[in-house]
Formats: sequence, structure tokens, C-alpha cells
Amino acid sequence: MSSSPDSTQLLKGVLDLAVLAVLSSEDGYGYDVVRRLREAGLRDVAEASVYGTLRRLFADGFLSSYVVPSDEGPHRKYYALTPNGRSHLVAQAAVWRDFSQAVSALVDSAGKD
Amino acid sequence: MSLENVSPEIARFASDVRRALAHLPADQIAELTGDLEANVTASVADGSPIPDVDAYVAELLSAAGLGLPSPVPHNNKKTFVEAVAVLRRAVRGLEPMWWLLRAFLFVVIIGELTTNFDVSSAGTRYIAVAGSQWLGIFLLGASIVGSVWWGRSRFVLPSWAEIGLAAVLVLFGALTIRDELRVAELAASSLGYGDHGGQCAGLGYDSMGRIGLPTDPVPDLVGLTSEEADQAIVMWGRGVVMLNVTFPGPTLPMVSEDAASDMVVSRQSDPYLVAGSCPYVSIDVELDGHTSLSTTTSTIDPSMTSSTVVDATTTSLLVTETTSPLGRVPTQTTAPGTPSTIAPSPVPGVPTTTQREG
Repeated sequence: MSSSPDSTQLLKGVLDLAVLAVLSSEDGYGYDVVRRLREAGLRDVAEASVYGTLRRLFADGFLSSYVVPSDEGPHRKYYALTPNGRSHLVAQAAVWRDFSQAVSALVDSAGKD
Repeated sequence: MSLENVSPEIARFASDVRRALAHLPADQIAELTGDLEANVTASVADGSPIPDVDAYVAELLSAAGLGLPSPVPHNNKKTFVEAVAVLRRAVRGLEPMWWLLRAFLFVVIIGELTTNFDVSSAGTRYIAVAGSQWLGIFLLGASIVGSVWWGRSRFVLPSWAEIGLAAVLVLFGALTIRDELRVAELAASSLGYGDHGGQCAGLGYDSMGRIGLPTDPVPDLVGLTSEEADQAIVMWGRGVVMLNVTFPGPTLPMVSEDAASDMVVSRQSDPYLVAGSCPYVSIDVELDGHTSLSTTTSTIDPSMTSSTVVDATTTSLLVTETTSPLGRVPTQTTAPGTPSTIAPSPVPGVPTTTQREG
């Protein structure tokens, strides 16, 4: 993904979904989530926006957290999906699929003829 | 969160972020920044730079659904805070220079405490430790490494202790350097071109306080008793030349001056200059061959430079200044037109510069 303001704008809309999706497979701490999002191809993701998103999803009850002591470095706060978060992910994923299908269809048809 | 493993830069960044979030309730700040150090440390370890504080805070707040800090109504306060931040950054930029300076001052003070006063080393003593310049250079290198390490480490003293230590270093270092400069100046002036004014004027000195050596040859003292030698030198030296009689050394340690007056000079040195508020010329003599010559003349360094001034009006020889890393020794030369009758220069082959006064 190129580093353009456009992708950053798009990311903002789907960051909740992306963060929930990352955490649905495995719990993770702040920077771990950033790393997994980047590995998935969202290289432009801004760290601070991920941390802010984590905090908001936590405040909304979609995430729980627990602290894991670390020998080499600072203790880490891990986030996990709550049941609420899991159902929110399912609902948001459905919205995203519909939305992205519609946009893809539009973009594809614009490319033809 | 444990802070021991956080680098100072990241700790600084984190405190800047927390300060920028100060408009939020404390629990929200804690929630937003609880993992800040851990996250940034991991990110930096992955090769990312430390983020810009303002952009970071803006992203954090907007993603968290929290408002940006409302424009501060007291604009003056904000300007003041910004000015302080700029000043802090500027001071931080000067920090490495302070690390070097404090290492230097440390060595200066250690040198002052361990090195005895010595005119010949005046001005070079700053980094001599226990009298050794090499030890000083070694300690300076070690101090710089230590100082920079300390400056970059997370080991931070309480600020009062740090300020106190800095004040002590600067104060004592400055005093030492000032004394050193004063000694160097004194040493230079007492050997130099008449900085004494009228203080030393009189017999053997000209009105500028410079030494005028007789144009007559140095008397041959060998074979004379020390008393006769003394008289010969008084006659010849017009008050500025002294005999440095070394008593027969360890074999007859208790010999008195009266007894020595009957002893015969077996060797004599060339004249050399002795520094002081009124410098004078000295000649070492050895009595009866029991003693070795004073070590003063053995410290002549061939690399020294020397200069001799000839007074145009009296054509008397003026021994002026010789400088050497090890000592100061005069060189004689004859005034123009005067037959060369004076003993050869103590340092053969050393070029002498001759200049006319006025």
C-alpha cells in the first residue's frame, strides 16, 4: 500500500474493524497489533491511531485487557475480544463486505468501457 | 510499567506526550499512555523513529474519540510554555559540550590536587596529574568517556545534586585555571622583556628590569677557593650573577659553609637564568669534585628556543628569555663588534636570535 493521504483516510474508517479482526485470532499488546496490521499489508497505519482505537474499543466494552509482566522490557497490556467485541466484529464485517463489494463493483465497472 | 529499560529519549517523548494530554482527566491519560513507553520502545527497536509529539497526540486523541485540547485561552501562557520548550531543546543541544567541559574541569582539579607547583610547567599543568602529563592525558580520555557515558545513560542524580556538582566543578576548575594563567604570566614576565618596570632596576639590571650580562668573559673559577670564586663572580656579575655552590654531597653531608669556603672549585657550569620576580643568573660550581653539578643545567632541552637582546646604548649583553618545556636557560652572545669572549652557549648548535632594542 502506498503512503498516500488517501489510504490514511480510508484506514480511519476501517481501523476498528481491522483491529478487531487482528485480535480475534490472538490476543495482542499495543505494538503487537500495529505489527500484525502492517504485516497484513496496512503499512501506513499510524501507531498512535491504533493505540487510540484500542483505548476506544476498550472503553466501549469490545475489548478486555490484562497485564503480562516481561523480563526484558516494560510490562505489556494485552487486549482480548470480549463476547460483545466478537459480535460487534461479526456485524461490522458484514457491513464491510457489503460496502466493499458495492464499491468494488462501482470501481470495476468504471474501469470497463 | 517498569521504567528501568526505557531509553532517556523515549522517556522524554513519553513525558512530552503526557504533558500534551494534560487537558484530559487523569484516568483517561493513564488509559491512553499506560503502555506508551513499551509501545514506543518496541517500535523503535523495529527501526521506526521516535514520533513527533504533536502528530502522535493528535492521532491518539482522534482515534480514541477524544477531543483535541481546546485552544488555550491564555495565549501568553502557551507562548511561554513553547518558549520554555524551545529553550530546553537548545540547552539539550549544548549538553555534549558540557560533558566534555566537565571532564576537562575534573582533570584540572585532580591535577591541582596531585601536582606540585612548578614554574617550569606553568601553563602546561592543566592536564598533568600527579606531575605527569601522560597520566593527565590518560585521565582526560577516561573522563571524557565516562562523562559522555554518564550523560547518555539513564543514571540521573537528583537535579540539586547535579547542579551542585556542576557548580563545584566550574568554580574550582575556573579558580585553578585562573591561578595557572597567573603563574604562567608571572613566569613569562619574570623572564621576559622587562615587565618588571623599575622593580628590578639597578645594579646589573637596566631601567626596564632586564638583566645585562657583562661583556667580559666568565671568569675561570676552577682552582679558586669557593670564597675567591664568590668574590670573582661578584666583581664580574654586577649583582645579577650568583654562585650556586653545591657542597660535597653525601660523603660529607655536614660540611659547613665556612669549611666549604676553603674548598677548591673543580668544575663550573655555564651561566643560566633563574626565574623569579627579579630573575638572576646562576653558575653552578662543584667543590673538590665531591659533588656533582646541580641538576639545573642537565634539564636543558635542545628543542628550546632562545633569544638575546643587545642593548644598543650600552652594548651590554642582555640575557632575556629562553623557554623550554623543561626549563629556562640563557644563551649568551656578544654584542656586535665585541670580541667573542664569553663562554659558549650551554646548548651548542641552538640558533640564537639577536635583535636590537628600540
